[in-house]
Parts: sequence; C-alpha cells; structure tokens
Amino acid sequence: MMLHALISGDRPRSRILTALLLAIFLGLLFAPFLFPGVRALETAARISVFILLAASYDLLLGYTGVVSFAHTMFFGMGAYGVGLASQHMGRGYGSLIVGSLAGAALAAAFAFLIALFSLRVRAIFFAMITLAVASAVAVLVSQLSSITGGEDGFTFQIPRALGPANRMGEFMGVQITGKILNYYVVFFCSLILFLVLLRIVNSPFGRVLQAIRENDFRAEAIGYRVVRYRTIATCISAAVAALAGSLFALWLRYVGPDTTLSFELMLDLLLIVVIGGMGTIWGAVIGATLMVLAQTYLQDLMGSAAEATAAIPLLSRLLDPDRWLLWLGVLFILSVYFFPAGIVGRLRAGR
Amino acid sequence: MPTEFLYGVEVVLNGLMAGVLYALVALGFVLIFKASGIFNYAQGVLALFAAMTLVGIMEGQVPFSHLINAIFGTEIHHFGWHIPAIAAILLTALVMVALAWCVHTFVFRHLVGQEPIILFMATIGLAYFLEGVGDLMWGSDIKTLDVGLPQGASFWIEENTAFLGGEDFYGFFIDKLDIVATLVAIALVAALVAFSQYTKQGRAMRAVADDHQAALSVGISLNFIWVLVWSLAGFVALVAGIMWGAKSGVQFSLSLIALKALPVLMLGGFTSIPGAIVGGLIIGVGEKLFEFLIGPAIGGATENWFAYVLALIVLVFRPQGLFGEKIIERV
Repeated sequence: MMLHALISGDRPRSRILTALLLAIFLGLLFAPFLFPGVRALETAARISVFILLAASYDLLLGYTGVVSFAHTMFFGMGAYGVGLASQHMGRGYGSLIVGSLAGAALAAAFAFLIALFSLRVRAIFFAMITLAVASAVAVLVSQLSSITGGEDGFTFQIPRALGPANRMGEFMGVQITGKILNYYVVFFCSLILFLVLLRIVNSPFGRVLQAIRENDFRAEAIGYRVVRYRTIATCISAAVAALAGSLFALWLRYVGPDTTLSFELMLDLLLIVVIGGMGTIWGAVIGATLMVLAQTYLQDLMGSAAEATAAIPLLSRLLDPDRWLLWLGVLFILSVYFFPAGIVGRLRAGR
Repeated sequence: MPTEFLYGVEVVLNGLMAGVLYALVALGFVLIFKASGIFNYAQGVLALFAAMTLVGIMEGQVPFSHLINAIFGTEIHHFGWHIPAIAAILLTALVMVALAWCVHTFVFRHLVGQEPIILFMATIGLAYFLEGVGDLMWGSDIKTLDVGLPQGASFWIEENTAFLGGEDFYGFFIDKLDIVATLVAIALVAALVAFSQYTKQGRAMRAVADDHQAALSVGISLNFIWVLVWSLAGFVALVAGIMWGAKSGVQFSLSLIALKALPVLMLGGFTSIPGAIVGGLIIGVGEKLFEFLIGPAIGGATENWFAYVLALIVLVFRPQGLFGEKIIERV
C-alpha cells in the first residue's frame, strides 16, 4: 500500500516491465557494491541523472505534447548554477543549495518567458523558438569565456565530505569513500524528484495535460485554460531539468558546454524518451538506462565481439569498435521501427 | 566613393555568396519536408556522404577496400584510374539515387503514418548510420576535393573595380569559387523550378506535397514520389557538398552544415523553396554585415549566434517564417 502511494498508483502494468524496473532500481541502489570500479559508478550516476532528466522531458513531450529543444539549456542552467555558485561562494553545502535553487528559478523564469511568447501561437512553433533560444544560449556560453570558462568549461570544488579523499572505512568489502556518498546524494535526490514527477503526472493536473495532448481544442472547450496548463508544465519541467543539471554537475565536479548544453545531448534525450516510450514516465527509466549503457559499453561490447569473431574476417571488421556509430544508427532505426510506441508501450501491448 | 562604403558593399557581396551555400543546404530540407513531412536531420550527412563518394570515385578509390582486403587477404586500395570530374559527378548522382531508393525502401516506407517526431528520430538514426557507412566505405581521412572549379581571388574583378575608390582601395576581393557557387546554385534552383512546374513527375510531386490522399486517389504512386524527392535532396546535397568540400576539404565536420541551415529554415519557413533561398541570403548578408558594422563594438565573433537571434526575432512576429504557409486553425 505504501509502495502504491509512493508510485502514485501508476503501476507498470506489465510483468516484464515490472521486473526490468525492479532490476534497474535495485541495480542503481546497490551499484557501488554490485559493480565495483570507477567506471561502473560513473555509469550508474549518469543513469540516475538521465532518468530524472528524461522523465522531466517526458512531462513536456509525452504528457503535454509540446516539443521543446531547449531542455538541455535548462539542464545546463542548473549545472552552471551549481558550478558558478561553488566557484564564487567557496565550497560548501550552502553554495550547492543556492546554486541549484538559483538555476532552477532561472530555468523556470526562462521557460515562462519562452512559453508566453510562443505557446499561444501553436505548439509546433514552440519547438522552433526553443531551438533558436537554446542554440543562441549555447553559443553565448561558449563565447563568454571569462564567466563560463568557454568551450573548456571549468572544474570546481565540492564539500570535502563528498570528495574521493574522504575515506569512511569498509563495508561489505568495499571502501566507502566520499565519492560513494556523493553517488547516494545524486541517486536519492533523483529518486525523490522522479517520484514527485510521477505524482504530478498522475494528479488531476497531469490528467488535464493528457487531455490537452489528445485534443487541445476540446480541453479548452471543457473549460481548461490550455495556455496556462502548458505554461505551467513547461516551467515545472524546466525547473526539474535544472535540478537534474545541478546533480550532474555535483557528480562530475565540472561543468562545460559538451556535458550540459550540446545539441547532441538534446538528441540523446529525445531518443531516450522516444525509445523508452512517450507519455509514460516509466519509459524514461528504461530509455535512459539503455541509452547510457549503450553509449558507455557498446564500444567495449563490440571490441570483445570483434575478438570473438576474429576467425571470420568480415564480421570481425564490421564489429570493430571504430564502427560503433554505424551500429548505433542501426539500433536507432530498428528501435523506431519495432517500438514506435516505445519499449514500454510495446511491453504493455504484448501483455 | 568613400572607402568605408565600398568595403561595406564588398561585405554584402561576400555575404550573398555565403548565403547561397546556406540556401543550398536549406533547400534539401525543404524538398523533403514539403513532400513527406519528414524533418530530415540527415541532410548535412547526406552532403558529406555525397562529397566523400565523389572524391572516392574521382580518385579511383576502392569502396570498402578495408573490408575486402580483410576478407580476401588482398592489398587493393585503388583501381588506378582518375575519372574526369563530370563523369564522377554523374556517377555520384546515380549513387545518390540508389541511396534514396534504399532509404525509402528500407526505412521510411515502413514508417508511413507515424508521428513526425518518430520520423525525425529515424532520420537521426539514418545520419549516424550514413556517417558510419561513409567512414567504412571511403576511410575517415580528410580529403581534398578538386573538381576543377576556379579558386582564389578574382584579379579581374579586383583590378576593374579599383577605380571606384580612392588611393587605398584596391578593388573588391571576391573568391572565384563563390561566384561559381552562386551561378551553380542559380542554375540548380532554376532547374528545380522548371522540373516541378513543367514535367509530369514534378507536378505529381507538388500534388503529393499538397495532399497525400488526393494525390493517391488520382493514381500518383507515393513510393515513387518519395524516392524522387529523396533523390532530389541527394542532388542538392551533392552540389552543396561539392561547394563546401572545395572550400574547406571533405571532412566529418561537413555534416555540421545542417545546423547552419536551421536558422535559415526558421527564417524562411519550412515549406517554402523561395523562403529557403531568401532566408539563406538574408542570413548570409546579415551575419557578415552585423560582424562588419557592430561586431567590433561588442567583441566580435558575432557570426556564430547572429543567425539564431535573427531567426528568433522573426519567429516572435511571424511564427511561420517569412514565407511559410499561413496557418489557419479551423474550429
């Protein structure tokens, strides 16, 4: 019952999906103990952040039916907020909190302005406007190098307790360092915000958003102010994205345009949401996990596959790690082809 | 005439030339978007692929030589011939048609009726795939593309315009390649317009762009038209690839010109061919002039963001772009 309340009554509605979600949840929860090693922890943290980011994007794309290209801009605002605050106010929890809140507030304000300008016209132009704004901001950030460190970005200090130098003894055969503590901060913050998002999409407010997605004119006719609902959804989504950015910056102890603002990141995000399944927050979990794993381990996997097939020259050459872009492209096309409703949609339909 | 003014004119001329290239890339987008509603993210990679193929054919490079050598234990890399540019361009055009057929048959035919965002995703996958295939086919090294187009500053123009200014004006400095690019682009657009206005296939193409179902009901084959449209986009990409490749070498950054074309599309409207051209010219001239006039005052390097800001301002007042179709929402 408590679990039911926690996930806001939005059950996965498919056995396989439930099993997958549980596996991902447990995997992330015990990541430092199950998968030792720096790289595995890095991947786990990245998955946590991207689940949150993708879920916040799904609130906009999947639930409200608004296509935005500025989501990584909001993500970046949170990241730069934490980075700049830590740099100028000194290391400490205060600057982390101030930085993330300022980033989230700025993102929400920006989102409000953009929404006000463009959402009245038609949802598709929102996509164009956000694309223009995001591109302009990305270029400006890399040019204002005195403030933002330009293309290189900058590193900053976080509280000592969260750094790798903080050793706190051993547990289950694993050396507990500040890095692991940091991971749990990232993980639990992502988890809480994720549950909040789940609550939002299953609230009456979320239902109105879905109604707007299905038929905005009818929603208006029933008496809901469509523009207002869309605007609020945009602001919430932007603020959560900024918080995800803050967590990401906290984890990396670095901010830069490539990790937070780039157009490639925006495309990854779109893919995560579409592959996972639009219009269901659980899709974000599956999509983000798959995407990050593919990006991190596809090259490794291909490397070992190439070795395994060394006897067959054609296959081993095709599976060479240098070819990973080719296979990523094939994966995309196939997943769009076989799961147009996303993996979650497919699993639910095949129940 | 005051020298300052003449420099301004030179900046405008150079801007026009740059704009032509932007327009070329944007044109490929518009063609596909109009006929099938697909926002083709792969257009830039298409240009890259075309340019690579052209270089490969001209140099007599063996495609997939890496793979072939691995399988048969051979050491072939070159056929040992050099094909004249014209023949190579024609062959490349054939390759682009084959590619268009493959793209349609293996990917988009199965995705008919999906949501636009799904189609967009598929083109992203296509872009990655093509980049990978291009790499596999022709290798990843930077190549120089020389199809015999004149290059370098035109001395004729420089000498014959020097009289316009005073002592310290040496005439307009204009790259010959830019002039050729402009002429080719004009010819290409004229050919496209003629094709779509006066040929049967062209009319069918416009009919499909207007209304899929109506076109289908009068017996136009959608499959054929979509292959045709992708082929045309491939030709446009080939021309754009030749021009950009001749300017700065054939390398993977060529695929980024797609991002340069986005503000052009926003400005001109996604469904308008004149819009793509005028939008390209406006942005080309605009960013050069802005850099020339206002750039020094605010620290320069304005070319990177000017286009997006301009597009943004236009979008706020005219969401459909300068030439886009008026959107009338019927109740």
